[in-house]
Amino acid sequence: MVTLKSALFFSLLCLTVIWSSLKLGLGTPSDPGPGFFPFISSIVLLILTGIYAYTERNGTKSIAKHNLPVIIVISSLFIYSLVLDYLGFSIATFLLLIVLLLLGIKEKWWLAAVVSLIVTFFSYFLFNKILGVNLPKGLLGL
Amino acid sequence: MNTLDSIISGFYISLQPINLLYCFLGVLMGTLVGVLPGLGPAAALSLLLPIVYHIPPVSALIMLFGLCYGTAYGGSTTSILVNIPGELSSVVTCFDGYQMARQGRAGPALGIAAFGSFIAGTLGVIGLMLFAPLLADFALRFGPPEFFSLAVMSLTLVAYVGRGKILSGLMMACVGLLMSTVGMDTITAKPRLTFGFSSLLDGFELPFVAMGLFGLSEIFINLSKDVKSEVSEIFATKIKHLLPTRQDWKDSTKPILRGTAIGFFLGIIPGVGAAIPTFLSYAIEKKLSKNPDKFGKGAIEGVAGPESANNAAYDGTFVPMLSLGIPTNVSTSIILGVLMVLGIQPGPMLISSRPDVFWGVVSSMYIGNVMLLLLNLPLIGLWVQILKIPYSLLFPLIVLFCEIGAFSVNNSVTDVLLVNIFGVIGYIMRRYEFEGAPLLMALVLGPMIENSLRRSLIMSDGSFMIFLSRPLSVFFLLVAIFLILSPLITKKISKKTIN
Repeated sequence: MVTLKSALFFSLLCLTVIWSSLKLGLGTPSDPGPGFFPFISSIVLLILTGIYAYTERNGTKSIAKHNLPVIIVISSLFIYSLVLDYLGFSIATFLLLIVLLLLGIKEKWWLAAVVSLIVTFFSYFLFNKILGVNLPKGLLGL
Repeated sequence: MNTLDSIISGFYISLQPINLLYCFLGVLMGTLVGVLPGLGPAAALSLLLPIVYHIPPVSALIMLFGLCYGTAYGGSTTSILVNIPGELSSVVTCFDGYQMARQGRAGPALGIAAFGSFIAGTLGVIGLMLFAPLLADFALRFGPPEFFSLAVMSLTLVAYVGRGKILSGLMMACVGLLMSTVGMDTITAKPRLTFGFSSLLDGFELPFVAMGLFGLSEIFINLSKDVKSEVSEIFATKIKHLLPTRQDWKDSTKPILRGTAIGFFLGIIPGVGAAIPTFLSYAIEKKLSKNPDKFGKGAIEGVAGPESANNAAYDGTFVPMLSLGIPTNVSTSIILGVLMVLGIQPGPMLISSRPDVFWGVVSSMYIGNVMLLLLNLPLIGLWVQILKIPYSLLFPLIVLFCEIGAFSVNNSVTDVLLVNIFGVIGYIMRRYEFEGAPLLMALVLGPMIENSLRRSLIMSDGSFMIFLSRPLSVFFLLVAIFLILSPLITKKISKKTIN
């Protein structure tokens, strides 16, 4: 299953690239066009994928289940990148850090809050004041 | 300008206060990365990428190189004191280093690791200084076909030596090549494979790919493994006698010198990296020893040899990167990408066209090694304290650094999203046992491979025979083909022996 899924993914990727490089124009071998190199690379990848699917067809590789902390971290990072512009750097970062820290130090929420506050302040200082990065201010201007 | 003048001008650059500061920051972070088991040099380098845009180019490179070779120093500390290798390249140090610590000889073990690293590091820099210009001179004769074949060979080597199978490594290299073509075509200025997304016109920028694939995904993987703070017993209550005795020196001098030679020359070969030489050095020392039974029970030679080998290997990996523009592992791929971002053209012309870069960086490595010796011996207690920081406190900081770092490159929230996407892609790749190293290396080398392929074909008027009519190019391709076929060959041989 695992092999099949990856093989399917790579084949689809190759076919998309082949189609789009044909549209770009392959040129001739003596005057290669913009589609030439992507075309060759995806043909090679397609061949490799075929060998991969064949040699690993009986593979009993199994993938470990996702665990909760990873899902929480990944989703909070995506939420962070979506709300950063609206909440502003300080609030968004503070909230993100609390979530991440609570994964490790579950019962001591006050500790998480204090650490988040300190880290938010220092990272603001480092990036904004020392490195001169224009961090997003958000709707509240914080 | 002769070599001596070049070295002096190099020191003139590297001794400027700002460069000393960045050199110090680099080696400091290198030691830190070496000490912390959950953070590798590739992840740390990618974390620093955003900063590179805000400081002078030579200073930036001095810092990044410092981080690379500094890692080799810090790695030994955890191996010796807690039996947890900070890096792959210090796994071997655990064998005898930890035993020495258990016997109350943590001091001499740490001491010889630091001195061995210093000697190997310094000799390695001298080697780099001698070999890189020679190799660059030789490579001036290379035409596009040679560069194409050399790059193909290097990619194959990296896929071959990686942790996964060579097949999946090669597949990742192809994906990297495809990714490198996304964006504006350099020759015709046509947008390629952007699928209508205007943000892809500039292609996949290195910082986001590297930070996602090596920074974030490493954290996701660590979290999914449920790494608890494994630090159980730290032999750090009283570390005494850091200075090795005369007998220790007598036992270690030859292993250090042998380790240096093994590390440096193996390090030059693409894909080998710093870990393999340490295993080889350990095996050789055990074989040459008068009483091999001591090994695994606290033999100082088993610390001195491998610890020197990994330092010299880091210097070795810099040789092809600085003289040919060919990276040999993830760390050097990232630095090579930085060179391009900073507008410094890598390749055989680098040393002559930008002597300030080459000699400035190389001379800073002497200074960096002295700093590392000072950082690692007297401050050992501090590093032990840092080991006690739990991962649950550390990973939010690394994550945050990735996010802000990504934002700071172009002041864009879209880039933060991009880095998260690559983090998830890297996480999925690792779960399916596909490695990121060949992908990143192909992404960096892609434009060079494509240009040399196109130029070769124009030269030969469309005939692929040009790659087979030039001896060096044939040699490189034969090595690549041999590596690709080697799993089949070994399978056949083992079948025969069973029958």
